[in-house]
Amino acid sequence: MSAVWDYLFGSPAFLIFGTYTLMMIVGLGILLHLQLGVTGIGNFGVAGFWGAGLYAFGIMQVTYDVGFWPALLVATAAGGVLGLITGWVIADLDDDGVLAATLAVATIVYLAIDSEKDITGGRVGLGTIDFPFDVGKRTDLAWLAILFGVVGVLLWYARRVHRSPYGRLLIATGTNEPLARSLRKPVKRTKVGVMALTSAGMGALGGLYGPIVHFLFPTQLTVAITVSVITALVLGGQQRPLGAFVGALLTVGLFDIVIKLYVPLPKDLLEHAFPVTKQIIFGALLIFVLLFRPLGFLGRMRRERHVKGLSRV
Amino acid sequence: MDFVAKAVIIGLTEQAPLVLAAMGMALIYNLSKVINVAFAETITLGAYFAQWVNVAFGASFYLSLAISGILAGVLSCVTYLAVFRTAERRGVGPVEVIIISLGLSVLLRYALQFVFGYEARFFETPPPRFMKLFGVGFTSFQLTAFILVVVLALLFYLFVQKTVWGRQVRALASDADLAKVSGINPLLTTLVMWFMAGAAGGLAGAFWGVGSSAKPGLGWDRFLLTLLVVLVGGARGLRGVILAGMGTGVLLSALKLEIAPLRAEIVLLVAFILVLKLRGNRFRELAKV
Amino acid sequence: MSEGNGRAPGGRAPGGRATIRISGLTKSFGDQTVVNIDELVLGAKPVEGLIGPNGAGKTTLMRLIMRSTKADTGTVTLEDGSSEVMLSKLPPHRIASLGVVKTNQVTQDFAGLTIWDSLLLAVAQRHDERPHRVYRERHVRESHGEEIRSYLDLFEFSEPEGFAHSTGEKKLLDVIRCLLLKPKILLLDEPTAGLPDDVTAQVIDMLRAKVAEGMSVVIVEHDLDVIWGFSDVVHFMAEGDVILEGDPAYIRAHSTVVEKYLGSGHV
Repeated sequence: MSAVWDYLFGSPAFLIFGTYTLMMIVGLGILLHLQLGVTGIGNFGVAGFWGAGLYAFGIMQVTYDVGFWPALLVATAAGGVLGLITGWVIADLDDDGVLAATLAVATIVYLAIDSEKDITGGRVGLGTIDFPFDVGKRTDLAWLAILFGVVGVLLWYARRVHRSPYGRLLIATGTNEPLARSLRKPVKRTKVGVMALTSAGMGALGGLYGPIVHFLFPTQLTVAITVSVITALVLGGQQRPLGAFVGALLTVGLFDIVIKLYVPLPKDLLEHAFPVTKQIIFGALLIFVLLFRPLGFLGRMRRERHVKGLSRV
Repeated sequence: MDFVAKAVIIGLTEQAPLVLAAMGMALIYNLSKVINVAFAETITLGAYFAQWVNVAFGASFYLSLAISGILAGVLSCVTYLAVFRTAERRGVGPVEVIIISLGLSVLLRYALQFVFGYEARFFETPPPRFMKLFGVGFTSFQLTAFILVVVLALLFYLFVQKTVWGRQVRALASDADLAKVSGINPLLTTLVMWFMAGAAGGLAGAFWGVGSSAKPGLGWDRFLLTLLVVLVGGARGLRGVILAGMGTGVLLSALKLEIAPLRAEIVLLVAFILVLKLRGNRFRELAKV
Repeated sequence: MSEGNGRAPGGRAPGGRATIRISGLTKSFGDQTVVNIDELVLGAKPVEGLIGPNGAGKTTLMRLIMRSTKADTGTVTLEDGSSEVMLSKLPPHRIASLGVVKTNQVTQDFAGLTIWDSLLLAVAQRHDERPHRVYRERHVRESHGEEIRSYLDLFEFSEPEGFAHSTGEKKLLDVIRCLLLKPKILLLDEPTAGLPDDVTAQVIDMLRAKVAEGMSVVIVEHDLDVIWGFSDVVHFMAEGDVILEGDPAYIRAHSTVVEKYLGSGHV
């Protein structure tokens, strides 16, 4: 029994870090679900909104020596303001324009961090950021519990959105903008609003990631984050709140937790071939899922269930 | 005057491949209405192909260039047949096609590391000569690249505007059904176009690669700028793309003469975003409702 | 079927109806002028028909009013009692909230939304649709459920709690969505095209009931029997302009004009 325990939890630090990553991808995936799966906004700059929050948090804590809560608030606001501006830009662009604008926003965040070394530390890094509390050995477990809670709240909110008039407005905006407009729905404002709200969430998640890594580098915000989030969501089912969760378990969970921790791979393989193979599989998954099962593992929204459950609203 | 001359010379020599890459991407965009993120990897592989021919067979840079263009064109056709044609036939939505091409981009970017290795690869070319014009220094490579790009861009432009193939491509882009009725073979025409686009991207990659090295992120690092040039210039056809590409190069070098390079890039991106915003959806006026 | 003439406008004073005034409105696509109207008032009578040959500009005119297509020149003004609003300066969703609403010639639907969803979307007010109001669904259903059900009971949907399947169902849904907005002026662009005769009759009856409650209708329809039987005034459009207007009897009396454009057998 204890052998099994040791096998599973023998390296708790790695297990916890893997689970942190998993929770980040799930949280970002739920927010992307509201943008892409519900409102039809293809945000290819997830890493940028998340990174804006992460760095805003770090700058507040390290450069300006601000406490945890105000720093988290600034992180959330950073994501939100960036989302607001992005939403304003993309509100009347078609999908190509949305791709370009969101990628550009993420690139600007990256370049700004790289360039403004005085406050971001540039490539030297920014740190250290510590947990806002210290309960000894269990601190990182406690942080993990908090992350679970936050992701749980996001999931709860996404599910509520599906059951609310707001969600219906978002779906209508995403599927037939002119028709929604003709039913007196302010679709531009709706898009700006949903981008601001969900990007604020991404910023907040970024802030919560700060204490996990302790030290921030611009290389933490590469497109790989965005690709992981999109892959998880698309694989699990972009139209379903649980899609990102299912997809993240099958991708990040499998690669960054199960294989990394429990499959004895030689060290040089782990260094090069493993991450490369992982990306190849992510890319292939995106292609195959969208070509042959576009709605992923969980399939389409089940709106009719919701209608039939009138009394259970 | 000195400032302008400097900005123009640096901009055109450094960003000449951008014009070529944007022309390639615009061809696909205008015909198939697809923004192909994996075009970034066509660029990257162009650099790898050229480097490989150059080093493994001791071929001159110019010969490697030609072969690399052909290989990149073939690769482009293969991606069309394997992925984009399937997506077209299955009626995949526009956002989904973009995500599919992102998947293809990631797949190729990492798969090529298994073939060409994880490290950057360098060309074996005689060291370039350094030259000066109006007090601006540049290498002989940059000059040849610039001249070649001008020639290629011109050929490309003539191909699309003047030849039978080009006419068919344009006919297919404006009205696919009508084009089919008038006897155009859509698959062949589309393949010719994807080949041309891939060749342009591959050549651009080879030019970029010889200036530094062939590495996995080469195309991706330049993808956003290429995309923005296509979106901003593409509405006015290839001529617009050429102008937007050159304008971008000059603007970027002008900015870099004044402010720190990274900040210059930020200013350029912000400018592009504002242009996109201001231009809005002018081309979608015919609403359905 | 020409009893439509003397219908009273639901007890309202004749001057109390909202009208749409169109001045100097033009629209061209390329070098082809599609709409070119100097002066036109729509909605003065309860039901106004808009007929004319294909390409006369009927649908474009309606789209110009709703601003889903932007005009080249000219203004569209909504005159309601003493207030005047320049519709041609407002975004489309504001026009709809002022009570000018249009159904669609080409079937429109929200993929992914059920019939009930679609109708609840139409009735939901802006303050119900705020992002923090995630427990607002019950309220919207309780305040509008009866009304929606009363519409759904009028017609036979194959799966009223699921999705609209046929084009006909989607077409009906389009009309009901618009009626749920309680418009002052409803523009109908071929509302009964593709519907079976009995359903067409039901739709017209339903519209009549709404007209009796004070709503105005402007209808484009290829089935001229519907126009003759339903309209109080008919505007005949050709080549982008209204060339003839009057009550159905008057238009039918000018058979030479009508037949010139529509072919014989229509009057």
